[in-house]
Amino acid sequence: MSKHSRKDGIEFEPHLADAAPQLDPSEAQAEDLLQREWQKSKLADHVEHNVWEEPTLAGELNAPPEADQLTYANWLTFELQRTSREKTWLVALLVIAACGPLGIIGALFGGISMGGGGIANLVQLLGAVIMGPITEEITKVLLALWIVEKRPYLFSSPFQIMLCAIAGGLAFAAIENLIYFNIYVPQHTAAFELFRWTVCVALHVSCSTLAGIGLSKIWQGAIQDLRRPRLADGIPWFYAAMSFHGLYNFPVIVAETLGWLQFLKE
Amino acid sequence: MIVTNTETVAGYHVAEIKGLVQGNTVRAKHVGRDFAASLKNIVGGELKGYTELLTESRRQAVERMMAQAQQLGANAVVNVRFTTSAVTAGAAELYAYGTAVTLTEA
Repeated sequence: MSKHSRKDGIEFEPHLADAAPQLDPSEAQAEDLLQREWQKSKLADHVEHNVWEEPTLAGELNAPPEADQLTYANWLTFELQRTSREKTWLVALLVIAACGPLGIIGALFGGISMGGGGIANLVQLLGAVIMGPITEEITKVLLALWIVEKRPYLFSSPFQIMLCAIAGGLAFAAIENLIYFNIYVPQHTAAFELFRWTVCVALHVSCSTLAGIGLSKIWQGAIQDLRRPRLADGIPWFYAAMSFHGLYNFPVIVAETLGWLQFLKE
Repeated sequence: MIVTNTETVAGYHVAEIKGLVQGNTVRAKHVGRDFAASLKNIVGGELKGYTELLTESRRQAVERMMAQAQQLGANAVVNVRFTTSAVTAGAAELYAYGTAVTLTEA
């Protein structure tokens, strides 16, 4: 005699039972939400999902896209035509203005790569020579990089991009200096201030100029060929900026740790 | 548009293959829904916020796949498959793909 209750029988499985199946109420909610998102979405959102730039056989199996199809080239052409030069300058100025706040984040994340107390161990040395330069060089051009990658039509010349990169370097250097003077090395000498306002500012601006050249290369490739920006076009310049920064940090930190550079008041 | 996970559609034959079409999405709920779901997790039952999340993701991925098929001038997507990935925690990541075709009545 089975001890199973009546409802254990296979006939009560949902697909065999007589009861009407329940619809999922989240279907209607999802429909409403997606509809609202669709209405708010922009052409830039849709071009991300278009079929023509997919690396499939779609392009070969089908005739070339018609002129009114949403391809990346058509979208970029359309946006370039409707974006005024004044608007691109406004964007460039906004990017420059945002370099300060971004510089604070970058300087804090960049860590104490040039702290007054020198470096205590190998991990700190690697952080100062590798991680610090990588973080800082990315932060300095972060906003301009986003624009170049996502909305390249918002810049109208490599000059604007270079200005943004150089401003990023300057803002970063100034904020980093203030952090050093007031937080990391409050008991510093006048020579330290002179060193930071000359050598360190020159370093940051030089490195962000290198990164800016990389950004310009990415932007030019996209605008000239009306294709998606390729990060690879700028990578050698980004590496150059990071390497230059790291190569500078290494001897300075070693000299500081060994006491050859003395920036603390006696 | 006919969207099916079979290779063929009864009553039709494939006149033209347009190519692979796909749609993907990575969606999350806001922190409030995540918190509510974590509380519900203690007592059990359906985590409705996450059910919604999966439903939204599935529908969006399918819509994007269909939009690609439409761009190719297809009237059906056959052999549709779904897959998930793990890009980030707390998000629903769905990828739908299939073959865009032109079907004509047999």
